[in-house]
Amino acid sequence: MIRQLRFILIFYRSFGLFTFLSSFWGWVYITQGAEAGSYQMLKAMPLFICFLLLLHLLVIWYQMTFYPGRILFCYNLGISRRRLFALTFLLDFLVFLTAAIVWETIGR
Amino acid sequence: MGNHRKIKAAVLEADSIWLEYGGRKILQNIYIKVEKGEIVALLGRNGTGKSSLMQMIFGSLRGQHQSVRIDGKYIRYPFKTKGLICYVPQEQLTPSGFTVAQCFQLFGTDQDLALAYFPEMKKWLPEKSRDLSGGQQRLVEILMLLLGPSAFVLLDEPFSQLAPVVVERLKALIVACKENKGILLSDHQYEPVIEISDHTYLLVPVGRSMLLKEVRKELAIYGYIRET
Repeated sequence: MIRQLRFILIFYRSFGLFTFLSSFWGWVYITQGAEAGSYQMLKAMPLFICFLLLLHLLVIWYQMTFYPGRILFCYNLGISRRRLFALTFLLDFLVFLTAAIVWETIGR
Repeated sequence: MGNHRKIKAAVLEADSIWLEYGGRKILQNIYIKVEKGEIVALLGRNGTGKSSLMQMIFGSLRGQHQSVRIDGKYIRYPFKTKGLICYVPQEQLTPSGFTVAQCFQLFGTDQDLALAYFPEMKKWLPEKSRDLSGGQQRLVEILMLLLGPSAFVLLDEPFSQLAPVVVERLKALIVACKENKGILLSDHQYEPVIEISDHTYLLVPVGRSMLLKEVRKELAIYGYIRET
């Protein structure tokens, strides 16, 4: 499990900036006009998670289509597509959540 | 091999394989057996389904039907079993951003053994895989998995892109590795393959495997090589 997590961390770096910036743009767009910590913001969460899921499906589809070897690299580590998707999604969500909290606290 | 767990598995068998795309049969009558301590060659003309068969054995490709067994026990997705099997495909494996040393560490590669056969690799260790030449990347990826703890290794075209002198050393290393592994090897450079193989299977149209007894003679009979 540790080597799988180590792999995910390094693998995430290859597309993390793209997903992070896209997530951040999505968050700002979806919650525009809402007050920090308001009910409106909470209501926007399911839509934002759907956006994030679609973004990750796009990333995995891109990797599988244009870099099939990378998926086989994961398989060689015993990581299935589903696990790869889940772990990168979770990591991206955690990175985003941290950044969003900082943004909502001091940015706006 | 570091502290990575080694799995005790002695026999890999694949049969009842059925793969077709849009009604076109690719594989249909296959039996492959690889035992620990053996190098088994898988030969066949282009398009006979060698890579597909390897991927089906590995578990990354699902056909209409397949049966892959380890010591007689059916395994649906062999790659998910830690330390059981690894597959070196023809295409580039390593994602950008990984150094050679990181890859070796991830897969529990026996770095000392790699350096014993390929001392020039020492200076590649801190390099990112993408900064190496095509041949160097290929060699790193082969060694990364071949010298890992997996009980079975599937090598698809390992000798392509490699210089003859490197092929010679790689052949010697593959032979040294078979002591505690089963290795399935496929390459169109058939000479080095059959030279180090204990058994040879030939894939013939449409998707049948044949275990060859008199390898060179039968390869010529089935049109894989020219009769001399």
